[in-house]
Amino acid sequence: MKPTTAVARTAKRRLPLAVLLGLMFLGGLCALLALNTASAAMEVQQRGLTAANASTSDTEQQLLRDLAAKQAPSALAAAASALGLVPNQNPAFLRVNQNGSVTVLGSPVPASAPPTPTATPKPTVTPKPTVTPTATVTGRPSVAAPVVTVTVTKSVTASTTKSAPPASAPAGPNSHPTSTAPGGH
Amino acid sequence: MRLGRSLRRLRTSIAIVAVLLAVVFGRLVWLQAVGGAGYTLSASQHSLSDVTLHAARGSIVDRNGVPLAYTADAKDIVADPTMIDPAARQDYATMIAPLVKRPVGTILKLISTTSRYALLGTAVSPATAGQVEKLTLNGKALPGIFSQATSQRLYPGGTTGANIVGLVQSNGVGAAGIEQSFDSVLKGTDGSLSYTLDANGNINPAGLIKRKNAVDGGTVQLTIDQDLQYTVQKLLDDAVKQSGARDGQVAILDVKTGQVRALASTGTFDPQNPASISSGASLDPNVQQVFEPGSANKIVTMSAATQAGLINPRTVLTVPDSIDAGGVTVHDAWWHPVQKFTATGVLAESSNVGTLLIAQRVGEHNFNDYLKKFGLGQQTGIELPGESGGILPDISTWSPSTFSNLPIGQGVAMTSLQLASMYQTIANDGQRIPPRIVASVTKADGTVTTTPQPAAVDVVSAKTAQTVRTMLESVTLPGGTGKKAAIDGYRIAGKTGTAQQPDPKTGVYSNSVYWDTFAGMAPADDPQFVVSIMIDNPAHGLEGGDVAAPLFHHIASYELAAAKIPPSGSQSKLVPLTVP
Repeated sequence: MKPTTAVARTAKRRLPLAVLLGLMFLGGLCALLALNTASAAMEVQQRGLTAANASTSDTEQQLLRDLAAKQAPSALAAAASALGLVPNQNPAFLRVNQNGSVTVLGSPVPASAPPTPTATPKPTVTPKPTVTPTATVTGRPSVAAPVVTVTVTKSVTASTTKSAPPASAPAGPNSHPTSTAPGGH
Repeated sequence: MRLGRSLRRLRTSIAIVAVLLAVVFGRLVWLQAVGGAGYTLSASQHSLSDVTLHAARGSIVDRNGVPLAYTADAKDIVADPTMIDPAARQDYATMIAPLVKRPVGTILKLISTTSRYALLGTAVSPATAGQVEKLTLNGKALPGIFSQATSQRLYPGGTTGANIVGLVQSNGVGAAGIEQSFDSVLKGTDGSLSYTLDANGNINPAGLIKRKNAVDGGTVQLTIDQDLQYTVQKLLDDAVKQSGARDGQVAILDVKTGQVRALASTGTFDPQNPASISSGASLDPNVQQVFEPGSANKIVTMSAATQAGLINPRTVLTVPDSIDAGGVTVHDAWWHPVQKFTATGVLAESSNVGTLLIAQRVGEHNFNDYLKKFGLGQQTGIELPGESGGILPDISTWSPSTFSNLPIGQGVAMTSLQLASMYQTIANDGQRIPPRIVASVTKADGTVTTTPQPAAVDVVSAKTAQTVRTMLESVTLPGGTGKKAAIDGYRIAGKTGTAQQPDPKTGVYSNSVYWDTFAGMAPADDPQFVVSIMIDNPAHGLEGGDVAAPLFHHIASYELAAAKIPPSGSQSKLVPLTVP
């Protein structure tokens, strides 16, 4: 009886140990799985952030390019011209004196606006008198409305296009030195 | 019996473990003692990787910090032709070609090879690369098309100031302008990264990682104003076009500092497109091409004579229509009887004869000294490559007629920058400050090095300079040759010039081809800037007062308003040009 009792006690002791080891093994597996999953998730997140960073950087670069292009003098001049602004050929200033009066410095002259671009409409009417029906229409008869295409051409007579100045060369044979020696003037 | 089995199992296990340990030990001996050196070498070769960390090229900005040249991220569009379905190549080429701005045929040829790599587009913008990446064929992204990071040198101003900024070669080395002369500052210093790789080719965090950071290039700030530069280029282009001239140049200097505000020439290239450079053309004519200034050179004679007390603005000279000097006959530009001019009148009406009469009082050697003091025949030292010092014949080589030519601006050649510097001298009370165009250099670590102002050269006294300025004002007043340079409300001083060009066919000066010049300052009573202008061979025989002077008016009007320089309200001192 005693040995039987001892074996049973031993079995009773080993069972919790096996369960414990099993639980530890399962726990370890679960922990490893959780860590791997978390690592993978972080990696996915990192890739997403890296891609977003690259995209944002590209956007920033593109915006910088656009900004530089738009603030280029030629672009600003074109935009100003489109708004009807013209260069001032007679600089003048207003000086506010201590007594509140205003003194005009310089000789201001109203800037002459360039000729307003005139639109020269050249309507091109292309009537389509007939429409070839592609299906049998029952009920209301089809109406073949003519298609009208209007082409508007803006004739911009640029203000910068000026005729060449008249030949105002000094008249007469003595306009320039005629000797063999050169003559600046 | 149970015990015997256990012992046998134990011995068997020990034997197995011993064998395994022996195998492991043997392998260790093999790896360490026999093949260790080879494995070590092989491992180091395969696991170590070196990467160059490229330094970003620095920017070039104007005096207000506006970028004239900078480096931006870009993308190369590449392909792996083996991944592309041969039946779809034409569709690929048709879609990609317009985005990378290359012919369809070229793209088709590139992707029709058996290579694994084809460069379809170089340094396209991120937006364009995004468009390429979004291309689809039959609802699917294009396999075999990729983008890879690179960089691109951008010049947002296009042709504005291109002659100053220059450009870089395809290998990133400066080829002209500031890009060339400041290449060592702009390019920075590349770094490197050495690291070990694991079996998968990833960086081994536990391995050796050696990093030397790249040092980006510095920023070069110029003294020019981009808006002024653009305006001057446009006005110059218009003037050259309207006058039928070959080309032209303009230089603008700040009076007090000698700094360059603008250097413009016609026919400027687009740095973004090297194909726009004309073969054989000078990339920066303002410092590389010389011309004879004509009467704009007369300030040397007037300054020298005034400084020596030989003349004052009211000194009367009896001036015939022509003069025989040095074996040649020199005429005035217009016929007139023997007439009594004041020294001011000689300058205002640009009398060659009157100038030579004054020059004879100055004397050859004294005159030659003043030519040198005004900076002729020597480089200014500006920070632009290929500068010419002009042509000033050494006095030992002068022929008898040389002294009949130099005072009226023939037989001496200069750049438009040198011409502006001469007038900066008079505007700055007789002190010539050699012009500079770089304001400062800022290194990547933020260290700013400001360009020191060169030592001033005392040419004439302040009193002489003021007197000459008064005489130069008469040029732009009624009766003067440069009255078209005048600006209502302001006092303007300057001098016209019309110089005959040498005719290479005949070997003598041409009577039909001229350089027209004007150099002046504004406002004359408190000069803030000087402008020199050269127009090369205008049509119709137009003179400096017809082409260059009106251009000065337009340029100075703009700058007076842009720089917020109000008129003082003072009046010019009128001096009679002739006397009975």
